[in-house]
Amino acid sequence: MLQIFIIYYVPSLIFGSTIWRDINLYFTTGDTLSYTGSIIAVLIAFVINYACYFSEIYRGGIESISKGQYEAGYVLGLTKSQIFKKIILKQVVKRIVPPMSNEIITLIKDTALANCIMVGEIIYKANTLAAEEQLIWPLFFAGVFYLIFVGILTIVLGKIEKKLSYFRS
Amino acid sequence: MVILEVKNIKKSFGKTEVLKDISFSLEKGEVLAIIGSSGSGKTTLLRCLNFLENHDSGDIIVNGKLLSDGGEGDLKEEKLRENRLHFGLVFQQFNLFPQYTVLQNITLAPTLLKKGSAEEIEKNALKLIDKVDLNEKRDFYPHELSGGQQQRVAIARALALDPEILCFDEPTSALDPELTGEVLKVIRELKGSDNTMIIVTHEMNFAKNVADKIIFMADGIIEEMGTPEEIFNNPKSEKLKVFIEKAFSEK
Repeated sequence: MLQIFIIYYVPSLIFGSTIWRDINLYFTTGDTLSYTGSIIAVLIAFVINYACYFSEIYRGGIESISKGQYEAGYVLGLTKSQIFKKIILKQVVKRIVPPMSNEIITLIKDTALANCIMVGEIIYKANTLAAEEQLIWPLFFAGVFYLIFVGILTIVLGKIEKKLSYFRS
Repeated sequence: MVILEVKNIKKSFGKTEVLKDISFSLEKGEVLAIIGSSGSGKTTLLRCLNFLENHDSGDIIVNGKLLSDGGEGDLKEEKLRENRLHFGLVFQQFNLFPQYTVLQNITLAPTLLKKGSAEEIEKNALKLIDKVDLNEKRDFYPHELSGGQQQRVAIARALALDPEILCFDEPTSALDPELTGEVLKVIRELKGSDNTMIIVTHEMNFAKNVADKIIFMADGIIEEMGTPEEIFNNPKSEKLKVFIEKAFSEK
C-alpha cells in the first residue's frame, strides 16, 4: 500500500506533476471519470513489488540446486546452456512452484489495496454499491469472488505441482 | 602404451597448497588406485584431471596430446569441454539427474552431443544397462533406486561417452556397506574389459585386488607409488606404514 501511495502521490508532491490525474482526465469521456492513470500507477507498484519477490524466489530456486548437478553435466561435456536447459531448469521449476503459489495468491488478495487510491477494483465497487443500496451483500459476494478465484488458482497450481512430483530432487 | 601423463601438477586454494608437484603416468588398460587420508588432495587431483578445477601449473597429457598446461587459455569453455570428454567421472554422491529415468540419464549426454543416431545411442545405452545389471530398472527414476543401483547408473552414464580414462571419486563412500559390493563388482568387471581407470578409494582390500598400481598420497604429494604388493606388503615410508596399519586395524 505504501508503494502504491508513493508511486501515486510522490510525483505530484515533489515535482508538482499531476501525471496520473492527467491521464485519468485524458481518458475520461462524458461524466464518468476514467481511472486509467490510477490503474497504471497501481500496475507499476505491483509490478515492481512482485518482480522483486518473484526474482528472489527464482534466485533461491536456482541456487538451491546442488553443485553436483552442474558438475555432472560438465564432466559429460555439456555446454552451460545445455546444462541449464536440460538439467537444472526442471528441478528449479519443481522447487519454486510452492513458494510461487503462495505469492500469486497473495497478489490476488493484494489487488484490494488498489482501493486506497480509488481504483475501481472489486472491493471498491462492492463498497460503493453497499453504501448506495444500504446492503451488506455486495461485500459478501466480493468475498465469494475472491474465494472462487483463489480456489481455482490453488487447484491449477496444485496440478502443476503434482505433475512435477514424479521425481525428487 | 602410455595413455595419461601427468607432470608436476600444482594446485592451491588461496594460501593452502593442496597439490604439490604431482607426477605420474598410466598405461592403457591399467587401473590406478589412489589412497590416502582425508585432506591429502586425492579428490582435488581427480577434479583437476576432469577439469572441474583448474590446476595452477603442470601438464596433463592424454594419448600424447597436451591437453592443458595450467595456463589461462585452458579456461575457455570450448577447450574445457573438449578436454573433459577424454575423462569420465563417477561422483561420490552419484549426481544423477533426478527428472530423467535410468535410460534417459544415460542417453542424455550422447544425444545432446550428437554422438550418433537415436537408435544407436539407445542400443548402446541398453548394452551399458545390461553391463551394470539394471535391466529391470531402466524406466525407473533415480529416487526409486538404492544407492548402489544409482551409482551403477552413474557408471553407465560415464561409460556412455566412451571416455579414454574413467575416474571414480570414492564411488562407495556414500553407500551402505552391504551395497558397496555390487558397485565394486561392476568396477571389477570393467577392468576385465580393458578400461583405463583411476579410482580414489577408501576400500583397501578393493584397491589391493583390483589396482595394477597404487598411489599413496599425503599432504599433497605422492608419498609412495607402486604395485599393490609393494604398497601393502612392503611399505617404505613411515606415513604409509601408519596409514595401512590404521586402515586394516579398523576392520
